[in-house]
Parts: sequence; structure tokens; C-alpha cells
Amino acid sequence: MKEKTQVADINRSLYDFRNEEKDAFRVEEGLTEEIVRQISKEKNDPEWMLEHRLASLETYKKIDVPDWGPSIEGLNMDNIVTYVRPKDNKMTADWDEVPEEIKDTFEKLGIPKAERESLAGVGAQYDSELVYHNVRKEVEEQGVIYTDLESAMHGPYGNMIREHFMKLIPATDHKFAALHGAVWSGGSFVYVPPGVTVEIPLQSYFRLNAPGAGQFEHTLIIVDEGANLHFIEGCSAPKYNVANLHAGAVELFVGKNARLRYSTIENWSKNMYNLNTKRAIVEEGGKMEWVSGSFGSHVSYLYPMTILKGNDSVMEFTGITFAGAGQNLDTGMKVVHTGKRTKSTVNTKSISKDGGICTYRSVVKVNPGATGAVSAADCSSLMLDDISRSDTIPVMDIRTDDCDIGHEAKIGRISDEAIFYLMSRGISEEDARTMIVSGFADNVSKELPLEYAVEMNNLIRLEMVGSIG
Amino acid sequence: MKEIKINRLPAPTWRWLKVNDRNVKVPEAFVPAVTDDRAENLLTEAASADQTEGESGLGDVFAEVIEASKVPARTYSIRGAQGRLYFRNHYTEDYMLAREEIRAEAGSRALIVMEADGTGTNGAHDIRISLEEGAKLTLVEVIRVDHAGVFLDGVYTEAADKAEFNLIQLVLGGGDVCLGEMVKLSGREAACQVDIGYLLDGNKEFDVNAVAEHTGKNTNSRIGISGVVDGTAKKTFRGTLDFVKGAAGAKGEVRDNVLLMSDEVVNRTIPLILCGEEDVEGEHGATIGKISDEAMFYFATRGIPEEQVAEMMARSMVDQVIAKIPDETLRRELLGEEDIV
Repeated sequence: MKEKTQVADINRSLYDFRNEEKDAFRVEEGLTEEIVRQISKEKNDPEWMLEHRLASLETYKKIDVPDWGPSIEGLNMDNIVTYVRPKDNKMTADWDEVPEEIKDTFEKLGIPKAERESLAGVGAQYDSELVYHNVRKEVEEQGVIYTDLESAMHGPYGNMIREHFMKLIPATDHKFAALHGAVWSGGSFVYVPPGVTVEIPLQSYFRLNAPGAGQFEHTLIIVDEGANLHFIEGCSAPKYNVANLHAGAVELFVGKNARLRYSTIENWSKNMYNLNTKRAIVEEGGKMEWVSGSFGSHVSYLYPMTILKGNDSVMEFTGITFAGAGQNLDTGMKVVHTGKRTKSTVNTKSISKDGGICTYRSVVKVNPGATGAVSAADCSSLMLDDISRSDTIPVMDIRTDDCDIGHEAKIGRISDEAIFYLMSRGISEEDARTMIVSGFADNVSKELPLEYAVEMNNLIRLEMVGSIG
Repeated sequence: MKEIKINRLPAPTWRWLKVNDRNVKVPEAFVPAVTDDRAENLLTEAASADQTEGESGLGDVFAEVIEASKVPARTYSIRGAQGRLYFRNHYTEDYMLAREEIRAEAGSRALIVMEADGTGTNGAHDIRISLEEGAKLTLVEVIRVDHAGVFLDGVYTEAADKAEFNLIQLVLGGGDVCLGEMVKLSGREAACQVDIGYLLDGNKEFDVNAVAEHTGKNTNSRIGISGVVDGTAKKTFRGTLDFVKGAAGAKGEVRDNVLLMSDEVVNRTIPLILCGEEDVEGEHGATIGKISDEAMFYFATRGIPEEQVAEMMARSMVDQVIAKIPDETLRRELLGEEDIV
């Protein structure tokens, strides 16, 4: 009989600190037209945005909750506060002007340090509002725009934003896209002019501090023809006994012959319902790279989607999902090939332990006329004990003969032979398992900048610490 | 006629993909198909295999339709070695149904060969098999119905300790076909192998839902489907490995190899692995596309014209499944050269 193992839960004290809500402004719990209007007024929305919010609210009321994924019964919108901010919040480009407690939060998370050492710009969101946004002078001088979305709506890029906002992710897409359309707040706008390469990454970090609150940031990135950008997204929250909700949206427009890499290390607390929507559209010769690490949340629905619209456009997706106790993480990706000679490559790993549930869900769609499409997907799942669950639900929908589509998936446990081999070299069983799991996640860590790979490996290490027996 | 759902995915996915199940119309009443037993039939009717009552390879809703149909099932008990059953179901009229219930007793061995033909619309076939300890059964099914409407074929099997079930299905006729295969590997070391071959052209629709459910320890399954989609034909294949908690040591594999030969085809492949048990090995794979340029070039350099290459490659996709039929004489009897285009 093969030996079974049990692995205890992680120590999240690095992320679990919380600040009391002193002098915070918050709307009432629930979702009504009055609340939506109140948020819109807070934000000084242009008229078209208010109309968009109200239309989204109506759409939200009409769409059903999905019935094919993890249960979200524990999420009651009547108890969620959709907008919270420090009372006298003002976004600044100087950390010294950020309220002490909030600045301290981001110091603990290492954001200012990372900005000084290795980032071209940072946006830091605390609950519903951006508290800090800055971009290096030399990047600004290249013509790169990296600012908060709300003020950008009122500036010279207002029309550009209006043309793109929620066009890739319409409110009708699903219920939580509609919710986002009604109550979105915060988030960044990035524009990279033609031919510009941003040598080092830009980062947005989202921190949700208030219990029972939702975060609905909107990220809109336009990488113009021939430009090149790496954008990193990070998030965390302290754990509460009440549900929190994240229903953000990320819309990415990759221009002709442009390249965008979008990296995420998601580490929401385990009371979070993470119902995020991310979508990219790629023009001729463009390249979209997703690097996605999902470690947090109580329930996740997360499927970054790419539309390969232009001829010769390319997508690469590299991802890892780690579900532990109390987590039901339903993640994956979607890609639609519509242009000619398009290519998609998918490499995902999932790990489940201590009763966690991992589901890999995907679709590769090749539309009529998308001749020359090539797609290769490789998905591997690792189960670390006999009380967890791992499901793989891929769909390939192919509508032309001129294509080459391959898909492989495997599921299993850590090989006893590999453990024996490492232990025979003097490595403890716990360390041996950690090494194997870190190696399993190598596909993602090698795509990340060093600091983020280290953070990810630390998260894995924390997940693996526990009694073995 | 009434509309029902069959071939449900064991774990649904996004609704907009429209692959979670298949809607079909079934008649309010079926009549028995005409069955023609060949001289080799060595088996006689016996007591009903009642443990498979209420189950169908096409799903529970179709099982209810079958129960309500009042068409009696021909029931067989297989004893000892080398039992052979060979018959044809003729769908000569509309709304015909053929049913069989088979119990393979402990340690028995048998080969069952079934053919289905005819032009009657909306025909159906339902077979339920119970394999006792150590029984080994091979079922070869050749479907040549050429009809309007949809032909429904469900195979439901339960396998006890060390039982083995091999299913070979060939779909060669005209008309739309829905196959449902449910194999429950509940016994220790029970095993199954399912091989499905098909040729689709014109505007045929082919819908398959194959599930291997592993509940017993050290069980083994392999599901493979191989064929050609041409014209404006449409194929949907759902292949599921379901490793239930407790099925330690289980292994399973699902493979879909598809040759696409027209730019108006639709191919949907949905290979699922559902896993509640740590100590298993499961894998699935799909290869979908046209004849590679390299292969075409290779044959061209040998003086073989394109049309002939297409024929050869199409034939090879189905030959992979035909080769699984254990008896060469049977292979030639069932499938002369002219049957494979």
C-alpha cells in the first residue's frame, strides 16, 4: 500500500496583516441604482460612463449565476460593499505623501523597494482607489502613458479610452462582467506608442483591506504598433471570516507586430471570491504572453482569453494553480484563432493538496477561415494527497481542416521513486517533496523576473511546510 | 416525437460552447427492430441481467425512454469459453429499437459481433452488459444505417473483479449517429478498451460520449477514437476518465486522432479527466488536423497522386480500429475492400 501524506496549511502572516478602517468612506452594502449613481458621482464620471454603469446594472440583474463551476453560494451581493476609500484619499506620485498606514502596508509587501530597484512604474491600489501612481522619467520621455484610468478618461486620451473601454469585455459577457461595468473603480491605463520598448516592467499592485468589500479595478493597456511591454500585476488581502469579492477586468490591445507580456502572481486571502476577467486581442504579427500564478482565493473563476485576430499573431500561456485547504480554484485559458497562420502554445501546471480542488478549464477555438492555425497545449496536474481533487476540462472546437492542433494532459502523484532517490542523497522527505513541486512549477518561475520567481517559490515553499506522515 | 438530452458531459463546461450534451428527438413509441441471427449463434435466451436496469450508455434520460418503450430485450447468459454471438439488426422501418442484455458469467469468454443496417429513420440500439469475475468479452459493432434522422446507440457495461471488456465500434453508413459508452470498472483489476472508428462526409453529424468510471483498485481503461471528417460533417467526441476516490492504482488513457479533409468541417474534442484519487495515472491526448505537407510531399516524390494519398490516409485512420477486431476472417467478412473508401 503506497504511503499517504498529509500536508498542513501555510503561514500567511506576511500577507495577513490588516489595518483598521479609520475614517474610511464607504457606500452601503448591496447593489442598487442609487449606489451605482453614488459611485459614479464620487468618481466624477463623464455622462457616457454613468450611462454605461446603469446599463451594466440592468444587464447584471438579467444574467444567471454560472451553473458549471464551483459554487459561489457563500457570496451574497447584499453583504458586499462595492466602494471603500480612505476619507481624504488623494492619489500621489510620492510615497511620502501616502497616508502612513497605507504606505506601511505597501512597504511590508515590498512594493516601494521593488519600484526603486527594478520597475519602470508602479500603481498601488488600496481598496477601491489608487493611492500611488508613478512612472520613471525616462519612460515618460519615451511617450509612455501609465496613469490611473479615471483621470485619463478626462484627459487627452479620453476618446481613446472611450473607444476601448469594455469593448473587449462587454457587460453582456457574463454576470460578473456586468457587475464590474456597474461598480468598477480604480485601475490603470497604459499606452505604449509605436516602436517603443519599455525595457523594464510596469507593475500594478492591488491590496484589499476592508472586510466584506469588493475590488473592481479596470486595467486597460494599449500597446501600439511595434511596441513592447512587460506588465506585472500582484494582489493580496488579509483573511477575514466574511466574504470579499474581486471582479476586476483587464483589457489588452496588442497592436501590429507588438508584444505584451502580462504576468500575475495572485495571492488573495482564502475568503476571497476571485471572479476576474482578462482578455487580449492581438493584431497582425503581434504576440501576447500570459504568465499566471494562482495561489490564493477561496473560489476562483479565472480564464485569461486571447483573440488572435491578425494574421501571424501568436499567444503563449504559462500558468500554475495551487489549491490548498478550503480552496476551489477553477482556472485555465481561452484562445480563439481567427486570423491566418496564428499560433498558440499553452503550458499549465496544477497542484492540489489538503482537500483543495483544482480545475483546469480551457477552450481552443479555430474559426472557419483561420487557415494555418497551430496550437499545442500541455497540461499537467499533481495531487499531493488523497483528500484533494483535480479535474481537467479542455475543449477543442475546430472549424477548418488547414490546422495542426495538439493537446496532452496528465495527472498523477509525486513518484515514490523520485522521493526515494532524493532521500537516499540525504534530503529530508519534506524537502524532497518541496523540491519536486518547485521543479514542477518551473515552467512559470522561469518566465518571471527574478524577484517574482523568488516570491512564487516562497509561496510554494510555505504551502509545502507541514507534517508528513 | 419529443426532445431529450443525451450524452451529457460528466462535468459541464461553458454553456456558450454548446458541448455539454446533445438534444435529440425520440419517438413516443418504438417498435422492435428485425434481428437476424447467423448460424454461428451458440447462445440461447436466459434470465435477465437485472443489475443493469435503469442504465444506458446514452444517459439516464434515454434509459427512461427505453424502459417506457415496452420493447423487450433479448437476454443472454454467456458461460464457459469461446462463446460467440453474431447477429444483424435491420432497421427496415422508422422508429425501430433493438435491445440486448448480456450477463457474462465468471470466467467466461465471448466474442459478440453486431451489425446494424437499414434506412428506417430515428432508430435506436441499447445494450447492457454485466461482466462477472474474470469474464472477458469483446463486442464488435458495425453501424451501417443509412437514414434520415438520428441513430442512437448506447452501450452500458459493469465489470467486476478482473473482468475485461473490449469494445470496437465502426460507424460507416450514412445519416447522423449518436454513440454513448459507459463502462463502470467497479471490480479490482477490471479493464476496458474502447476503440471507435468512423468515416464522416456529406453533412453527417456524429456525437460520442464515452466514459470510463474507475471505482475499483488497479483498474485500467483505454479509450481511442480515430477517423475522418470531410464535407460539411460535424463530429463531437466527449471522452472521460473518472477516477473516483478509492480507485488506487488505476490507470486510464483517452486519445482522439482526427483527419480533417475539408475547410467546412466541425470537429469538437472534449477529453476530460476527473480525479478524486491521488494514486492514479491518467492521460489524454488529441491530434487534429489535415494531412501534413511533409506527408504529401513524401508521397508525391513516390509518384502517388494527391487524391490517392487522401484515400490512403483516410483508410489508415479507420484501419487502426479495424485492426483491433480479433479475428481476421471476421475482419474480411465484415469489411470487404470496397467498404473502405
